[in-house]
Amino acid sequence: MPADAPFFSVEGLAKHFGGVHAVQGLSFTLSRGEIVGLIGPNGSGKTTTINMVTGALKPDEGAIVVEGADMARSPAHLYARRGVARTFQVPRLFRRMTVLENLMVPALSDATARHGPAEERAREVLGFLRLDHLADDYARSLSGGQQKLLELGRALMLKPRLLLLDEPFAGVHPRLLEQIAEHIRTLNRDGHTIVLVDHNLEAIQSVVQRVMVMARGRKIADGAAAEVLQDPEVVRAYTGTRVH
Amino acid sequence: MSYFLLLAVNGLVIGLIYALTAAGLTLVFSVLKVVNFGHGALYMLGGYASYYIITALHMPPLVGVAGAMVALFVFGVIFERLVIAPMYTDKVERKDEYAIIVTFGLTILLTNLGLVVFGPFAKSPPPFMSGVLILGPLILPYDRLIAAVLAIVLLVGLTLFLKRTALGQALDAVSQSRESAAVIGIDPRRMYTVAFGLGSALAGGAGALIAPIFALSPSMGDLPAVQAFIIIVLGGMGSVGGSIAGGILLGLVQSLGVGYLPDPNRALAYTQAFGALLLVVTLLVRPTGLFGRSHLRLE
Repeated sequence: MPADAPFFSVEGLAKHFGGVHAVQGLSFTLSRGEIVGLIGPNGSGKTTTINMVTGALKPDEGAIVVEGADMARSPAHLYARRGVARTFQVPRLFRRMTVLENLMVPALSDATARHGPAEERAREVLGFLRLDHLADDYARSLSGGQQKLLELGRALMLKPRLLLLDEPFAGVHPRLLEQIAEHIRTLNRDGHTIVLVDHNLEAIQSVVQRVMVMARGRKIADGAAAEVLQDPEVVRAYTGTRVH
Repeated sequence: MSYFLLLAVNGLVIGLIYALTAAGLTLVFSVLKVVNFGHGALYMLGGYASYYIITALHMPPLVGVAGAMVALFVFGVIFERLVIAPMYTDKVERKDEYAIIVTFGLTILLTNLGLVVFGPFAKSPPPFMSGVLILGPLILPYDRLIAAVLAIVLLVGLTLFLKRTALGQALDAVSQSRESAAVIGIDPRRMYTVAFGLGSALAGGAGALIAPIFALSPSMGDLPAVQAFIIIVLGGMGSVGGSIAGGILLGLVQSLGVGYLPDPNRALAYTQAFGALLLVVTLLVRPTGLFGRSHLRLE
């Protein structure tokens, strides 16, 4: 792969469900270490996009290139092994495992992994997320915000090169929201490439430099957060009103 | 008291074999979300595999059991890859119905093939060990004792495998959420194959352990399959630990129920009725089974 080639790129991505075009002609690239917000009104195709670029959904058309390899037809576990990790809108934890076990399973999914180092790393991640006091609690007993943090931790256990966070701020207590935002900033400073999907524009602006906006399955804007959020087409897509 | 002890020990031995059969069925159900109606036929195949390893290859009975488990593991893996796997693709529209039909089909195919290949007459492999253990009032044939000990070893091994190994944890993860397992790098399709292979091996192991105690016949798996379904509902649908407890409980209730029925001439005919009664009472008191899914995990 040439040195200046994008780390991750999507070209002409499309997905339809029956007659509904959930995503059409979507293209974008991500550079290593970038943090990007993906926003748009409900039904704009954000989650479908995340599902496609992590292998949960197969696109009808288009290419998804991760470090030079087209993975559009690959299953989800191969994305994870390539360092593409994700979280879900509603956390999907292993509810009948403890917090610590939830973090250890990803580390042990590598056939060469050993139990001791996996536990050590899991405890490090728990410390980073300030969840260490809950290590032995069952995941199902955590609050919604704690579950989001744990799911972020589970993604971090993969040592991801690209993190896709689907609505990490939704339904979270304001105090925990700032904590999650701070974790995301720290991860980005540490070199993680991050795509953040959320409706909380204030929180998104506090974290990202670049914003992509989707509406009706298409990308309608892409650029610096402050400029994009003033774009009349973006405001219209969000509020349904015309801006003069 | 000695009569009670005798019945309880016999019930425990049979219960352990039930538990082994049900644990395999539970593993397949938890991971693949498929009710394997062919489980009884795999149990039968395990019994015959052990019989032929012992009699045709002149191997010791313990090698027969181990060989039967390996053979059934391989059979399970091939069957899952060839017959179950299409269910995960878009080629199969009605996945639940597909699973029911192919696993029922497996039972019909294997039972009838068994009649042709093994013949309709009962066969008995040589015992693990001749003789009877006498401990005070307790009298137990060595065959049953060895079958019970081997069943315990296999069940403890299975529990440790699920709890302590990376592969066991991966199976548990897929059983809880296949989507979450996939996004952390676990290949759910591989886990389905492993689970079906292990489930088949456990069924085969149970059939091989029971072979020296009861005679082999092509339809020998019909009843254990029904009992295994009772046990997994008793245990709480999807918990291996629950099915072990359920299996032992069913064995004990059947043995004690038959032993204490006032009319000894009819007692044996009521064996299955005690299982059904236990199931009804348990579901009335605890509709989620003894260890409901909300409380337990795969192991």
